[in-house]
Amino acid sequence: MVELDYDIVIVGGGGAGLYAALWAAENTILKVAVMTKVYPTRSHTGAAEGGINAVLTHSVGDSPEAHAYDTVKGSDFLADQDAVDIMCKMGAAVIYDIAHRGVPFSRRPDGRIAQRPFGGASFPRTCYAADKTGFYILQTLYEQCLKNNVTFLNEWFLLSIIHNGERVEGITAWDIRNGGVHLIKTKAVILATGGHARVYWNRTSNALGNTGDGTAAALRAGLPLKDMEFIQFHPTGLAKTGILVTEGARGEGGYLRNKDGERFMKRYAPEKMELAPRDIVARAIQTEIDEGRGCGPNGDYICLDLTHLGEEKINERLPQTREHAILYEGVDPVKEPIPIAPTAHYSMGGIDADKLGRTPIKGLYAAGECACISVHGANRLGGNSLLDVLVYGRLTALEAVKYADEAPETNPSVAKAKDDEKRILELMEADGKEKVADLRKELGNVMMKHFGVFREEKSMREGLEKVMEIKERAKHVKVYDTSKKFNTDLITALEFLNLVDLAPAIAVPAIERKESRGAHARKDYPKRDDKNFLKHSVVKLKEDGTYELSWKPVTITKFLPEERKY
Amino acid sequence: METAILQVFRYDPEKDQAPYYKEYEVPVEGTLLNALLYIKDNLDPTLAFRAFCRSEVCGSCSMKVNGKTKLACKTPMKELVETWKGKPLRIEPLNHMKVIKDLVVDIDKPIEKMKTLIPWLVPDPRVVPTDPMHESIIYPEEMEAYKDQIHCMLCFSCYSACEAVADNERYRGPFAFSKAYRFQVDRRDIETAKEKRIRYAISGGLWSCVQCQKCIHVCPKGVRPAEDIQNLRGQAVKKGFTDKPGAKKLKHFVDWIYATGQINRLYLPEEVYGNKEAREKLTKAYTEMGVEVWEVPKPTKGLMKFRDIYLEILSKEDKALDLDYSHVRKIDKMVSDIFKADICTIVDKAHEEGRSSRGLISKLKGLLGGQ
Amino acid sequence: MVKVGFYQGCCFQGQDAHMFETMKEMFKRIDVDVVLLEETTCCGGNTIDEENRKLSYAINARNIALAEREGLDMLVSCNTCYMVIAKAKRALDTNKKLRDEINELLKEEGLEYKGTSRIYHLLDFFRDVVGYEKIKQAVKRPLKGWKVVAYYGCHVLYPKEIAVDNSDNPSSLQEILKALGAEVIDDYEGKDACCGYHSFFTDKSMTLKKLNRILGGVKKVGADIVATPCPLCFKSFDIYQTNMENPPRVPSSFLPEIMAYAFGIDKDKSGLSHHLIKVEKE
Ligand SMILES: Cc1cc2nc3c(=O)[nH]c(=O)nc-3n(C[C@H](O)[C@H](O)[C@H](O)COP(=O)(O)OP(=O)(O)OC[C@H]3O[C@@H](n4cnc5c(N)ncnc54)[C@H](O)[C@@H]3O)c2cc1C
Ligand code: SF4
Ligand code: SF4
Ligand code: FES
Repeated sequence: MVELDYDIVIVGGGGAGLYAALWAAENTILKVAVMTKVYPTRSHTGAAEGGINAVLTHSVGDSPEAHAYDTVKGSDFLADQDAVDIMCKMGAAVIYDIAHRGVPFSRRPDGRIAQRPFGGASFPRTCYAADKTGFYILQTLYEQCLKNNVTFLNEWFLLSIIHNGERVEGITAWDIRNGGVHLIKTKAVILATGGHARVYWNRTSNALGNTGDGTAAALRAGLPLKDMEFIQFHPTGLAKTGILVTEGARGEGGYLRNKDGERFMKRYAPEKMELAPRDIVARAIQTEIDEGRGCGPNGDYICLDLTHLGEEKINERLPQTREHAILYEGVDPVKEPIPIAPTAHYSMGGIDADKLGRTPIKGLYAAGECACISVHGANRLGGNSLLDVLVYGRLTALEAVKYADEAPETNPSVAKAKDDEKRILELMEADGKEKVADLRKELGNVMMKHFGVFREEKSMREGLEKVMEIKERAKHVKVYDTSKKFNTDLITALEFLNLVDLAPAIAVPAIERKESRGAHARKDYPKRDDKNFLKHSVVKLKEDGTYELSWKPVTITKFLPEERKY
Repeated sequence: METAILQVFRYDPEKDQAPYYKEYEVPVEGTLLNALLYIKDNLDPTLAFRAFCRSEVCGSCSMKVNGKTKLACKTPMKELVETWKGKPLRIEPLNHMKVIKDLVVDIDKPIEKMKTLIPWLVPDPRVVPTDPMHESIIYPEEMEAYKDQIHCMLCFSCYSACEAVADNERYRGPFAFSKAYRFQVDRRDIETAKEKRIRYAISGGLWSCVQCQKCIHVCPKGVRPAEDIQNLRGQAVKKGFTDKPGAKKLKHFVDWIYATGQINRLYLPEEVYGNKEAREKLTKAYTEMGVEVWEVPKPTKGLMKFRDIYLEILSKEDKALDLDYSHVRKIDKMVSDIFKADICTIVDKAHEEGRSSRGLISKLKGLLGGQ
Repeated sequence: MVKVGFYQGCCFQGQDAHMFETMKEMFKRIDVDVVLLEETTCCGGNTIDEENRKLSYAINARNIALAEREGLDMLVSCNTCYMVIAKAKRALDTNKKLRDEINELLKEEGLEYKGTSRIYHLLDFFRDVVGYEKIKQAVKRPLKGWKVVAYYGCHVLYPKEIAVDNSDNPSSLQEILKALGAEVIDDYEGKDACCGYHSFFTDKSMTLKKLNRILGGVKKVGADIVATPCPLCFKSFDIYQTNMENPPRVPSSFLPEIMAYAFGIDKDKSGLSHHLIKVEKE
C-alpha cells in the first residue's frame, strides 16, 4: 500500500480549497497538498455567476453590521451570529486580497470595485466580475497557487477520514488516474469538498459531481452534520435542465411573470419584489405553478422577462445568461422571456464546524459549502457563499497551520484503506440487480417530491421510507468497469453511494423540524416556531446504520429574532 | 425519436492492444454531452470521458468530432447531424496529449507548459498597495485590454487544434500565450515580469505560430490566442528582441508597405534570412518561364495619401519611429531607379494637387533626407 | 454581366502581375466583369497586426472604401487577404468609435468606410454569385481523368465568424472542381493541416513539416494535382516545396488557374505552365 505523507491535506480545489492552499502556502513551510477529484479550475466555484458580498471602504452608508444583520435576517435567525460577525468583518480584506492577486472585478468609473444590489441585502454590496465572478476567482486563485508551487493531487477521490476519536490521523483516497487506494498520513485535514445538492439529481443547478463526498465521508467517520434539512432552491433554474440563471438577472431588473403576464411578486414581497430573498421567490414561483398560474403547455414553469433591458445591457451585464438560455433552453432572452422553475442549488447544512471552521475532531476542519459553520442558517443570501468560502478557506488554513505546527506525528492504521479496497472490490463483484443511473434518478425524484420547495409530515415520512428503501437497494449496484485507470463507472457509483448516505441525513431532521424557517417550508407548520426550533439540528450516523438526531443551540449575540418581511 | 450513430474511440491501455471504435445509437437531443451521458447511463457504463459543470464553464468536456475540436456541452446534437449530413459521428480524444483512457487525455503537460510563461499577476508595488485594506484603483477602460483573455477556462481545445503544437514539441500552446498576454497588458503587473514573459514566450515558440486561426475558431470562450500571439510578437520587437527571423519579417512588412503600399516577396528571403540566392534563383526560374520579374512592386496609386494615413495611425499609437526611415529611403531609391520616376516627384505632385498633408508630408520629406 | 471590384493584394503583383489578365479572361467566361481596384494596397498580410492592429484596420478600411467608392462589392482572391479584410470589416461594423476615428483619416483622401460593400472570397463568390451550374457550362476542356485534391487552406474556414463555408465540413471547393469535370479527392491525410506559408519567414522548419504532412498525404492517395483557392497555399506548395529535403514534387494549382484551363484558355496563359513544379497532366 502506497503511503503519502503531508502535514496538511486540503481536500477540494474549489474556492475554499484553493484559498486555503494559498494562505497555507504563504504562511508555512509545512508540507501542504491539495487533493481534488477534478482539476481545480473545474470545481463548481467556477459556475458562481452573480457575485460576492462585502462591505468595502467606499460602500457609503453600509457597514459590516448591516451586512451581518441582513445575513442573520436572511438566515431566518438560525445563523450563529459570532461566525456571521467574523465573516462580515473580513469581507473587505478578502475582496481586496483577491483583487490584488488579479481577480478582474468590475469597476466603477472612478476605478473602485463596483457593487450591485442582490436579494435580501439592504445595500448594494455584491461585488462582481461581469457574470463570471466565481470563474474569475477560481482561475485567479489557481494562478496564484501555481505561482506558489502548491502541490496538487489532481483527480484523486477522497474515500475515508481516519481519526482516533480525538485527532485526525489521515485519509484514504482513490487515485482516479492510475487506480488504487492510497493511505495518506497527515496531521491536519481541511475538508472543502463543496455541496451536495446533487441529491436532487434531476433538478439542480449543481455540477455533476457536487455529491457531498466530504460530507458523507465525515458522516461515516462519525462526525456530526448540522442543519441538513436546509437546501436552498434557487428560484430561477432553466426549465428543462435546472441550469442556473443568475440572480444578477433579477438584480439587473428582470421581471418574473406568470401565465397572465402578471408580476406576481407584488403579492409575495411587495417592497422587494423580484429582489426578495431566494427562498421567498422560490416559494412564490412554486405556488404560482402549483396553483395553476404556470406558463407553457404543462403550466410547469414561470417566465423571467429580460426583454425590456435591451440587447446591449443583456450582452454587457448578462452575457452568460443569454448564452445558456439559447443553448440549453432554445430561447433568446433579448427577444423572449426565459422559462424558469426552482432548482436545488445550495446546501446550507453540512459538516458541523465552529466559528473558526473546527470540527469536534482535532486537526479536522471544514470550509466552504461542505461545512455548516453556520453563517447561512436556514437560508443563504446570494453572494454570501463565495464570501464564506474565502473567509473560511483562509481561516481554516491559518488554524490548520497553527495546529499542524505543533501536532504530534500521526500513525494512521491501514485498516481503513484495506476496508476501502474491499468495498471497491465488492462493488465490482456485486450482483448488479440495480443500476446506479436508475436509482440515482429515483432518489432525485423522491427527494424533489417529498423534500422539495414545500414539505409536509405525511409526504416526508413516505419519502424517508422510500429513501431508506433506495439505500437498501443500493447494495446491489454494480461497477461494470473493472479497470483501474480512470474508472468513471466506479467514481459515479461512489458518488451515488455518498448521496444515498446523505439523503436520510436531510430527511430525518426535515421531518422533525416542525416549523417553517428559511428554506424549510412546511405546509403543515407554516410558521416559524422560535420557542421550539430556534436551534440547529445535528445528525450522526450510528454503527447500526441508523441516523441519530439531536439539537444544538444557536449563538445569538446582537440580533434578536423578529419576523422576516421583505 | 430521431437518433444518430456515435462511433466512440475506446482505449484502455491496460487491456487493449490498440484503440478501437464502438458504435452507439443516441437520441438527437440536447448537446453532445447529453448523448455521452445517455450512453453512460443506458448503454455502456464503462465509457470514460470528463464532464462536470455541463454548462460550458468548467472546461472538462473538450473532444473531437470527426476530427474537429468541440466542447461537448456546447455542441447541439442537431448541429452535428446537420453538419455531417447523416454521416456517422466519430468521437475522439483531443490531440497532442496522451490518452489515459477512452476520451480522457493527460492535461498535465499543457499546464506545465503554461506555467513557464508566468501566467499570474506579479504585482507592481507602485500600483498594487501592499496594505491589504487598500484598494488598487483600476479603471473600467483599462480592463478592456484583457477582457477576452480572462475567459480562458483551460479546456485545451486550442491546444488540440494547434498547428504549432503539432510540429513543435516546445511550443507552449495558444491558451498559454493568451494567459501570458493577459498580464502583459495589466498595469498592475511589474515591468520585470513582463520582460521575462517575453523572453520565455520567445523560447517557448512565439515565432512558431503559423497564424492558422484554428485556436480562435475552436475556443468555446471567445479567447483569441492567435491575435494575442501577434500582440506578443509586437511587444517582443518593441522590447528590442529583433534578432529572430519573424521580427525581421515584421520590419519588412512595416517598411515596404509604408514605402510602396506593398510587400516585396522577392526581397523577403534576403531581408529575413540574408539569403540573396533565393531572389536570384527565383528570378532565373521565372525568367526562363517567360515571366517578367519586377524587382519592386509598382507603388500604389495614391501612395502619398496612403503614407499619410499610415504615419498618422502609427504616431497616434506613439509608434511613428518604428518605421526604419533609412530603409524606406533605400526602397524609394529602388523604386525610382526602376520606374524612372522620382518618389519626390510624386510627393510634390500630391502637393500640387492641393491635398493637405497635415504637416506629415513635410515631416516625411525631412525624414526622407530633406529632398 | 456581374461587376465586382477585384482586390489584387500582393499576389497579382510583380512576377505574378500577368495573372490578373488570366483572371479577367476566366471571369469573363462566367459573365463576371472584374474591375481592378488599382489604388488598394497590401492588406498587411496579417503581419502588420503584430505592429499595430489599428493600422491593419485602417489600411483595410481604406481598401474597402475604394470598392465602396466604385459602388462595387469586393472580391478577394487570397485566403489571408480575405480573412484580414473580413476581420477588419467586422471590427469596423461593430465598433463605431473605431470606424469614426478611421473615417476621419480617410476623409483626407476623399474616402469613407460605410460598410456597404460585401466582401467575397473566390469560394463564396463562385457559389453564391456565379453558381456551380454556370461554371459547368463554361467548361470547354473538362478535367476528365484528373484526380484533384481539394485543399481549402485555413483563412476561409477559420475563425468561424468570417468563414465562407461550413468550417467543419466544407463543400464549395469540391463542388467547383466537380463542375470542372475532375475527380475530386477530399479525404486524405493532412487535409486539415495548415500549409505553413506564414511561418516560412518566422519558423521555416514549421513550414517544411507541414508541407511534408500534406503533400505526403496527397502523394499517398495518388492525386495528379492539388487545387487550392488560396494563392499563398499555392505558393507554399509550389515554391516552398522546393525547400524540402526530398521534395515529393507534387504539382499544385491556384484554383482560378485550373478553372481557366478547364474553360479552354491556353495552358500557357492559364498560369499552369509557370509553376516551379510542373503540371504534366493535360
Ligand atoms: C450555478 C451556481 C451559481 C452560484 N452563484 C453564486 C454566487 O453568485 N455567489 C455566491 O456567493 N455563491 C454562488 N454559488 C454558490 C457557490 O458557488 C458555492 O457554494 C461555492 O463555490 C462552493 O465552493 P467550495 O469551494 O466550497 O466548493 P466547490 O467549488 O464545489 O469545490 C469542491 C471541490 O472539492 C473537490 N471534491 C469534491 N469531492 C471530492 C472527493 N471525493 N475527493 C476529492 N476532492 C473532492 C472537487 O474536486 C472540488 O475541487 C453558486 C452556486 C451555483 C451552483
Ligand atoms: S494560430 Fe498559431 S497558436 Fe493558433 S492554432 Fe494556429 S498555430 Fe496554433
Ligand atoms: S483559450 Fe479557449 S480553447 Fe484554449 S484553453 Fe482557453 S478556453 Fe480553451
Ligand atoms: S462539462 Fe464543463 S465545460 Fe462541458
